[in-house]
Amino acid sequence: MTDAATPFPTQPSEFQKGDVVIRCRNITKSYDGRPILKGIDLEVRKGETLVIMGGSGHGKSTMLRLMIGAERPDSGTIELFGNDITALREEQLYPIKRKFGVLFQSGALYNSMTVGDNIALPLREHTNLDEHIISIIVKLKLELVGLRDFEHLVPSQLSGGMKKRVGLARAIALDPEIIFYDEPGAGLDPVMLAVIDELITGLGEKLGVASIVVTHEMDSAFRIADRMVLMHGGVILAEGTPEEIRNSPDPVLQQFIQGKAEGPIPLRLSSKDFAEDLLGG
Amino acid sequence: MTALAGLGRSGIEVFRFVLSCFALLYDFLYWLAVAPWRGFPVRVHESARQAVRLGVNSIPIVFLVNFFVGVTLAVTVADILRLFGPVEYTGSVMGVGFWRELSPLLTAIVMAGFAGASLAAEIGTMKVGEELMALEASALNPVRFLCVPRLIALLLMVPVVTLFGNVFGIYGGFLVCTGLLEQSPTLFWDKMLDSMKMKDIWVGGMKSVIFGAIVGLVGLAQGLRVRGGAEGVGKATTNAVVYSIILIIAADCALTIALYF
Repeated sequence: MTDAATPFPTQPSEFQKGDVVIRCRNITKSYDGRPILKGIDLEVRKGETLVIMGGSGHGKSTMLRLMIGAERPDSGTIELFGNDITALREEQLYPIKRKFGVLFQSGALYNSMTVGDNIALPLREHTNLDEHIISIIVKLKLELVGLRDFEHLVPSQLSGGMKKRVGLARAIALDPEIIFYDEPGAGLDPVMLAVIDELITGLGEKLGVASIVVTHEMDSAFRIADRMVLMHGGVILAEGTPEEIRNSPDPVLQQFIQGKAEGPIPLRLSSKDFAEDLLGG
Repeated sequence: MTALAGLGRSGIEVFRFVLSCFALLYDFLYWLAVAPWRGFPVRVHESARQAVRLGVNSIPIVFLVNFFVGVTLAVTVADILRLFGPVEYTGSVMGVGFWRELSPLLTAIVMAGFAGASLAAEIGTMKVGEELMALEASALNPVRFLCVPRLIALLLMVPVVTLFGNVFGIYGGFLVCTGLLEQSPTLFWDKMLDSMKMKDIWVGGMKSVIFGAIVGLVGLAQGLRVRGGAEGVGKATTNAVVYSIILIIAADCALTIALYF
């Protein structure tokens, strides 16, 4: 499956399997004075799949946006391939951005372009390959996600799951060394989910791609993860291998991975007492 | 007091927005003039595509609006001039009026509705759909990739379309003078050309470039700051048209006064 990813003339990476490719230190971020991240430390190694879990509103997506350089943290450093991206200007970030791919939650396809052009865009913009080669790479990447016949359609003609698969094909167009996945399972049927899971682990094992996966799908998370972290209330509550996480006695962690309604995680986010609020106190 | 506070707040809001337009203009100039020397070329082909989409496709509407205003203006002016006698000067009013004032203004207002709204909706939808973030994540600056070609297209096409507007508007006046008022065509052209100066032409041209910049910057800046789904896109589209029209008329007023002397 991953043979398809090799014809692209990428330079051999200077990073070996096991080297740290992402290192976040003491990241804080707040929006409108509301702290979302309160000091996050995170490391991801080449060839490893890290799953980030956590309830909605607990900072997973924010963390992802910071790591891809879409936003800057209030404090702390984020090193990608040894470069602190929080200290770089936009143009200095470009060479680093070319070495990672992102699969967005909705796929985020460019709606004005065909499926084929969506995947070809990074190749046209960042390489000197001629159109003939680019069209071959586009076909290879589409075959990888099982959508080779859809090259000439536009995104509005695709279902949500298909858009996501095209989004993945686009994310791996430049054969990145790191791939970020924002909820790759949402909106996919179980079979397709398994295919994507296999793709993620395959990219990691065979090509040494580091994957950072933000997800809610527990089955899928345990299937693909080499390491897992649970973000809760802006901090990392637990970190470990799937085995360690499964056997952890932490009640919050257990409630989350078993998906129970009752437990220590508060359902209601209000600060005031309910009765007090109703009676106008 | 609350009404006054509200007025103050929206005043600050508009001021902030105008500042963001200038920030976008600064970015535009950077990606147009500096970045190409650093290996980030301007997307010429895309600019041409946008020029067709935003400029050429607007010509039918510009024709209708300028033509009807041309006819209306000619009849109104002739009616007033008839009181004093020199009805043949209608041609002079048409020439100066359209070249210097009406065609730049009318065309820009049409473009605010036609192109400005479309830009705000397009860019806003892309923002909501994470497309702008996807561009950034693949090391493609959205301003360079999306805004620069669209703004180039408008800066080139608004003056061109304004030129068409002149022709359509004056043609409307010409039909009134030769048909309704039974003047000879040569009299109309002679009177028109006699009263026109080079200044009328360059003032009109300059206005159309500035108005093109306003339509483009306001539409794009509104699109870029969209938040929160479909409602945000709708609001940005409305704002793009409203802000463009206000700023165009304000700029026109200022330019007309400044260039009177």
